[in-house]
Amino acid sequence: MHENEMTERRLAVISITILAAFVIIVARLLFLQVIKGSEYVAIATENKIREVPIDAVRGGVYDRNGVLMIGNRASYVVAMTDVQAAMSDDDIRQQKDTVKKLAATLGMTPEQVKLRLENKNIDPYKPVPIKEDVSEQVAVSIKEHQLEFPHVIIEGKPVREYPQGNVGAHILGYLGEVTGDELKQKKFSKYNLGDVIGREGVELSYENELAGNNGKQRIEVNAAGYPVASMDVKKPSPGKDITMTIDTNLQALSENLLAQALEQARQAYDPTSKKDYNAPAGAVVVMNPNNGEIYALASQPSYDPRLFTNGISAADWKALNDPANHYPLNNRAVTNSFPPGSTIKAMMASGAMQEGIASSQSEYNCTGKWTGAGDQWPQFCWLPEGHGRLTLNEGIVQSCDTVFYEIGLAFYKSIGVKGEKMQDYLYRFGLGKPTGVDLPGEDGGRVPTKAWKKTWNKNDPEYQIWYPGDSTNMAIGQGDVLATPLQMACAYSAVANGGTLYRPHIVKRITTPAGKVVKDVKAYKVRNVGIDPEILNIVRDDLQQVVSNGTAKTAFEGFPLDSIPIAAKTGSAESYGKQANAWFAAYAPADKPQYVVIVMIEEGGHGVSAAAPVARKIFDNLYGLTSDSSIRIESTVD
Amino acid sequence: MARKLPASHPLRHIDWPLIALTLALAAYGALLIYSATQASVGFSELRLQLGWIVVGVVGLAVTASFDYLKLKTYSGVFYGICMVLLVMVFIIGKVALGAQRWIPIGPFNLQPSEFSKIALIIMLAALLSKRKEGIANNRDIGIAVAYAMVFILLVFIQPDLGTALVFGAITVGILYAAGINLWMLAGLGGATAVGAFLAVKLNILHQYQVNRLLVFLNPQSDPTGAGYNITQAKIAIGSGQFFGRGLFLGSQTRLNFIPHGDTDFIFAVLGEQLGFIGILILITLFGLLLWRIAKIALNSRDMFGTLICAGVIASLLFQAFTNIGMNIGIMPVTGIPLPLISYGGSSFLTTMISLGLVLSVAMRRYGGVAERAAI
Repeated sequence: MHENEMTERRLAVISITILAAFVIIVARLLFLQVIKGSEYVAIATENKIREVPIDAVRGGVYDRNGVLMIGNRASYVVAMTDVQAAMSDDDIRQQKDTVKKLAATLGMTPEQVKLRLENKNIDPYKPVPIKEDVSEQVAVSIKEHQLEFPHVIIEGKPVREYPQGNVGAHILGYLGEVTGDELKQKKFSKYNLGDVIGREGVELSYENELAGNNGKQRIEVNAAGYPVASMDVKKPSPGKDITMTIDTNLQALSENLLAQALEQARQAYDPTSKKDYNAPAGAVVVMNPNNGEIYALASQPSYDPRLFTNGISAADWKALNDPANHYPLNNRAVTNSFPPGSTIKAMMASGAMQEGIASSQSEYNCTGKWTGAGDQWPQFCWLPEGHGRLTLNEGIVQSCDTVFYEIGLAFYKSIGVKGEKMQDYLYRFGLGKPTGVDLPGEDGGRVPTKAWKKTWNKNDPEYQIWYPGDSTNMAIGQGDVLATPLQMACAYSAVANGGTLYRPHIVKRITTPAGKVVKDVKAYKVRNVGIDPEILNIVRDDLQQVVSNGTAKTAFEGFPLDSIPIAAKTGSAESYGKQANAWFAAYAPADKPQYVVIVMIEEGGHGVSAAAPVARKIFDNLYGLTSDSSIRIESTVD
Repeated sequence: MARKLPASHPLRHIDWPLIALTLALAAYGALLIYSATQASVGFSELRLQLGWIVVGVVGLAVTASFDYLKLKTYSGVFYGICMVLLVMVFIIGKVALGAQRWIPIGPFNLQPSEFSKIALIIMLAALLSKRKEGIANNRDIGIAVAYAMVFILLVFIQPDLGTALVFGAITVGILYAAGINLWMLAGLGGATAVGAFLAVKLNILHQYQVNRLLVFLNPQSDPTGAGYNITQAKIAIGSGQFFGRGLFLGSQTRLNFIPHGDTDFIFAVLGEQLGFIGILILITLFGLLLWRIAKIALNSRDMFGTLICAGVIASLLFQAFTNIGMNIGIMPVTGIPLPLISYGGSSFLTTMISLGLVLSVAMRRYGGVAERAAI
């Protein structure tokens, strides 16, 4: 049979087939092992080494007396490992089973657990968190029944805690997970997927100090992702602690008084809009006029920072951003600006006297209606029957608008000769520009100028011209001029301290966890406002009379002004289409100022009735005039 | 004593190169199995494989000692037994990896589809060699294809696509050696292609089988799922470079990145640890073995022996090429082991018995004691 030629030929073809298979394999191997070999060596190395970040413990935040405002507490996170590892059919079945049991234990549905497992926002080599902050009982029960929960681990994770509750929520801020988009940016290079970073307040503005630096451990892992050997470890360096200038008790008091004031304002009738005041929101600033230290910075409505502890829920986040709730996340003392109304008159009078437009004894005649800018543009004093004949001094004490219309007009007339002097004085007092406070999202307010008006109304040619009315309106703090409560605190500090504009700050000291001081924040003088001390003396006398004898008198009845003289200015000014915002700017003692207090109530009406009582009660407490005062502010006058 | 034997006596014609190559491959395999499993189970899997080698050598010797011609008579019996076993798999079979392939016998799992390879080889060789004139006619071919199809379909629905393909390769190899008209072979190929197309279209294939094929076409499409195995095997082999990373060394094996490193992906273990050189040694041994079988086929005293050898070549060549091809990313993942090398008793014993058949053909090429049973 083997002589058969056909068989021989066919066996030869079979042998050639064998040879061909041999050649194909060798050719492919030459490609894989010889040509691409070193590439695959690199891939194999990368395959087995994982860099596991070791989270640094975030620094604590303390008030000026060492009272803890943000700390860390341990929380238990239930997580699953090897979720994205290659899985056999058996593994998949087992995981399904585990998911079911875990869901029952954690009070979730299996679908919810699955959803967490599919979270793409997790480093694939890190355990996937299923539920954060579970009770110790749940954590222990899972650990005790570990065999029933393969691949389930309990991780300890520090989370933020707020021993003072809501107090200072806006100052403290909150944390949020770093997003995928941020991670692509260079300034987030030190973060890893799943890390949290400060999103608001000092958590944000002192992120670099608080966060510390994550460590990292390079480990060799097997295919299932289990660590086999540790290669090297870079220890994390914990974040630094921050001591703020805030006094917790004063902060809490300010927030409570503000909330009460809003409540009260809402029961007061506004004759202009013919309904009760809306008073949805407000802000309080208490500051040291001699160095810019902020003792309290309150904003209402407020929120509970604990909502953010384990990542905020969608429903809570929606509520916090719902216009109907008046944006509780906004820190209104810093991030929002309002027309300052008559509180601007202290700066305006100082500027006018410095500029020689007026002297303290300049005389004016107020009839209630002012037509100095032309009969076609009448303007009115807040007192309809008019103040009669009065000096500039009296104009401040009585907050006479007519006096300041005249000053505004005089400034207007000098524009051609000297430029925009009125704006210049406001700039000197720190208006129109962010103060540079160490809090995020600061608004710079607005000091309108001819150039500003032109661009602002660039589609509306007839509104581009700067009219006398623009100047006169600005002179009484109405119209387009805007200031944040914090800017007003700085401006009044400058008036109070004799002309130095300080940069406000909320952090006093930065220390290492061991207590070593890294940075001691010193008072920073932005500038001298350039007003003669004599002129400022006059203005201060007038402001003192505002309280003893003027527009704020009713709010301070019974206050021992003889021993603790107070200087202040009331204000009331509308944002377009809304009810008047109530302002009160004050400092004490008038002769040797220690505290500046600014109170602003949105759509709250009159400064003296809506805002001044808050300041009064703050002073009561600051000077120990109430039985339960617990504020501790050591003398920090430089 | 050998001197006293007649010149044509089978014991005087033992094909020692075939035995040497077989044992060399078995030893090489045992070494690699140890390397792949030593980290997790120490010596235990090596010990089992050494046991199988002993059993396999006995099986080879026993098979070789019989005159293969006698098998012609019993070809139908073997075929029948295997068919019954293949059907029994569905009744008492053990499910593993999503398919019913094993029948548990005491501590062992018998995989009937492995032994069916031998039965099929003998059956087809017998059917196609019964004519004195040598060349099988179309009727013979039709019957042979029908017998083959029964086995192919039985394993296909287990489902075990890999073994079905091996059966197909055996059929093609024997038909070709038997002198089938090439147009007819092409026609059979066409019919198979149509059948495969319909199988996919009518969802007869399991989703995982389709996935494997799709992933083969684009491994990156699912690097942690079905594509994972292929990717990791390629990394292992590539990183072995020319000389390998050293026996027992190499992170892909050591850290379990290679799945089934003792069975389906043992070639990747070899590639990583012993590199191009180590693979070259292996495939040279394989090439020589197959070449040796081809030589035995050529020198067989009858067509039956030739066709048995052709069937064994087809079976081993297809398995080896498919397995290696899967490891180096030029063939889809089908779960076919590397003959003589991969861990696994049924496969190893089957291969040894088929080589025993080949040896039997070689030993009796000059007639031997079976002469009286001549054609």
